[in-house]
Amino acid sequence: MKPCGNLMCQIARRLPARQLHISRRSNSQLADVGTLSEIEMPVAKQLNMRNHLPAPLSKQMDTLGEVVTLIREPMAEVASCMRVVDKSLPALRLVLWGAFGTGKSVTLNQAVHHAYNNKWAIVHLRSAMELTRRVKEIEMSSFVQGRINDPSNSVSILQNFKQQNQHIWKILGELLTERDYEWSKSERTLKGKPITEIIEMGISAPFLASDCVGAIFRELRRHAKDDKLKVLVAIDDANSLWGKTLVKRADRTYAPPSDLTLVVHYRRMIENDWTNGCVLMVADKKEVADARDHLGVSRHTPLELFGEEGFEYVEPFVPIETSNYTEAETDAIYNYYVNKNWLASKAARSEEGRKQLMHLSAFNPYYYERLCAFN
Amino acid sequence: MLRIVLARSSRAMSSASPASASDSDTSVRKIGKALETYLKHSQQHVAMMEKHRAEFETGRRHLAKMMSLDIHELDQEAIDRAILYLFPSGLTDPNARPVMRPPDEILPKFQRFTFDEEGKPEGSRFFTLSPKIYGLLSDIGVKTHSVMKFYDEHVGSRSVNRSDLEPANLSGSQWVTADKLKKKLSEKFSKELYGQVIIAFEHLASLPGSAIEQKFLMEFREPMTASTGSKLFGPAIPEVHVCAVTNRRYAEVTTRCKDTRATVKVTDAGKGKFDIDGLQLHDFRHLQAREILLAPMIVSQSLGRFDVTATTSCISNTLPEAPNKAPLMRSGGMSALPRAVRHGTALCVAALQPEAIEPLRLSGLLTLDPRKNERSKVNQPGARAKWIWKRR
Repeated sequence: MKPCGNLMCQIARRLPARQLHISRRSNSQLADVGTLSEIEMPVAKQLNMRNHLPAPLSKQMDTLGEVVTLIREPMAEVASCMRVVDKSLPALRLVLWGAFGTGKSVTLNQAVHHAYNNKWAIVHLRSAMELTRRVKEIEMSSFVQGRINDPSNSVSILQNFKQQNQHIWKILGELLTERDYEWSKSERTLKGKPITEIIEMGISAPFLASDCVGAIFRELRRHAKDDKLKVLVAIDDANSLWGKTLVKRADRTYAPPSDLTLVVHYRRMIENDWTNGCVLMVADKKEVADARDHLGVSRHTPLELFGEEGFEYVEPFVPIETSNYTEAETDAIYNYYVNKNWLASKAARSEEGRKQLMHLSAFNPYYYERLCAFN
Repeated sequence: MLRIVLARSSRAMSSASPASASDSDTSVRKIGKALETYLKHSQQHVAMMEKHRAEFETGRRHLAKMMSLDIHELDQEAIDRAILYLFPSGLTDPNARPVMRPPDEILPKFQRFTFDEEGKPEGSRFFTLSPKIYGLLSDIGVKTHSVMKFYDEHVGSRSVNRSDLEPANLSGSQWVTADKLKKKLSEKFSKELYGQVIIAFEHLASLPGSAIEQKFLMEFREPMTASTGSKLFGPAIPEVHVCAVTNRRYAEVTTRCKDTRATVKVTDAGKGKFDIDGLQLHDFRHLQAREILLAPMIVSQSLGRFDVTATTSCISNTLPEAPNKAPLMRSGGMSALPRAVRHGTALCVAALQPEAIEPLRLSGLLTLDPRKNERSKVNQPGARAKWIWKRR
């Protein structure tokens, strides 16, 4: 009887160490650095996390039925930058940069969630590369000579905007347009109409969508300046806005990115001639790195990735570097996976297994997740 | 009688003409026959060596011309390099590869007898048929006597070092093998004779006071570490040093895998950091590479304890190439480079953590991988591949 009692005592003493502190507060405060924080499923659904998170994490979200991420130092920096955003300050530009798999996109998504909690308007682009390299159909712009419209991407951007901003849709409905917009001979939006009408117009008429994106961005900037709302512009792979395109013009040459309407609109959003907003960009290596080169290690600093032109455009900005896990951070994730039975094998749940996972992944978050998914 | 015959034959040797022993009795004639053969062989050997030396000299001149070098520049090192270039060989055993060396170095030696002025063979042990081994036995006997005498005279006295009155310290070494002794004395002898020599040596070494003959004894002993070192194929486990600045232990070794040479330095009491040509562990994108690099630490259960610094280079870049050919710019890839580093790391970990030697050896991490890319053949697209055959 006695040893059994002892054992229970020991277990009881050990349990709190194993217990997880997943913060579930949905208020405007950010959870502490080093803790796990959950994004509730309905919110994740509204913010379209399934599309916006990196593929392995979005799969894991389906499997585990929840989105739990670790709050790390870069996210705290982003949150503190977002806190100072003010009507009097020009749009604050932040660039997330770091090695592959160190959590740039995840931090971006956390920032979007943070903006949601603070009731900001969200302009979130999954990847700027889609605007330059994944263009299915093109149309020549009737608004500016030589510009190339991209109806399918424009519609998806508008739909995504509508879905992600349902929490402030009413407020957006109260904001009015500044001037008359004449989309075509028959379609127009008059001055003094709610700006949500522009979005509805774009979604229903794809051939107008590209211009609608520009108009809604313009209205958002204006209203942010007037302190009606705060805007977070979150662009993943933002350096692709100055990269290479796969869009061909009539003479079979590749169009430069500055000829693409959507790219121009997003670049306009990055400019800091407006106030009360925050532009969060990710500098990612996939724009310049060779996918077939398995061995080479190219540089991932903002100057190399944005190029001279892009770098001059986004300057001045606050660089925020993401880095590999520390041992404490891997432990937090490890305990979460063990608790969730995501790490199922006996070897992985042992002390030696914990160490091996840590070192074999080289403390890289992406590799760590991949290893844990197979153990 | 015998002396006369020998004297005559030695004179005959100097004049290089066969000895005549027509007017001698049968036993003398027998010895004369033996000498006659000896003289004949001696002359043949001298003639052969002369011929080979001349051939070597001619060959050297030709080679110098082929390599467009001056004859004076072509020393033995240059010859070796030229042969390696002209006759590339994929054979693993170095003895099987083509060589060009002076005939005196590589041809079997002819054993000559020495004679004094009177024509007598020098040394009375000539007639024992194996003079050197008997000489050694006699030496051991003399030294045994002198050691015993030395001990008897000095035991209890303070005139000599106390350490001189003890048996010789032979720890960590063993007697040379029969084959090595044969080579050392350049003489053949029977197993029994070798046994007697060893018994005599053991007796001498066991005597108190044999420490004064330590130097003589060590001439016929070889270190035991050579035998333990030969257990590993490839470079041996390196020595442990202590860094003067950081006061941390480290070991360093150079090894290779395929065409990649790696110099690996492992430092104890680290954080598990890697620095391979400036790359860290997370720069190796493939799990295979990271697994290979960490294998020694996983086997020795020392993850996060050692820091690894390595520099790698391409071996074929350093080999002699044809003058008009640009040097190859290859280096190890996804697995060869990590494997080269892994071998070095495993050896260093074995040095720093001796209890891990056995598990490391059993998992094969201490063994060099000697395999190499097979060279492609002339008139073929690859090492084994052939052009498609086409009917003309």
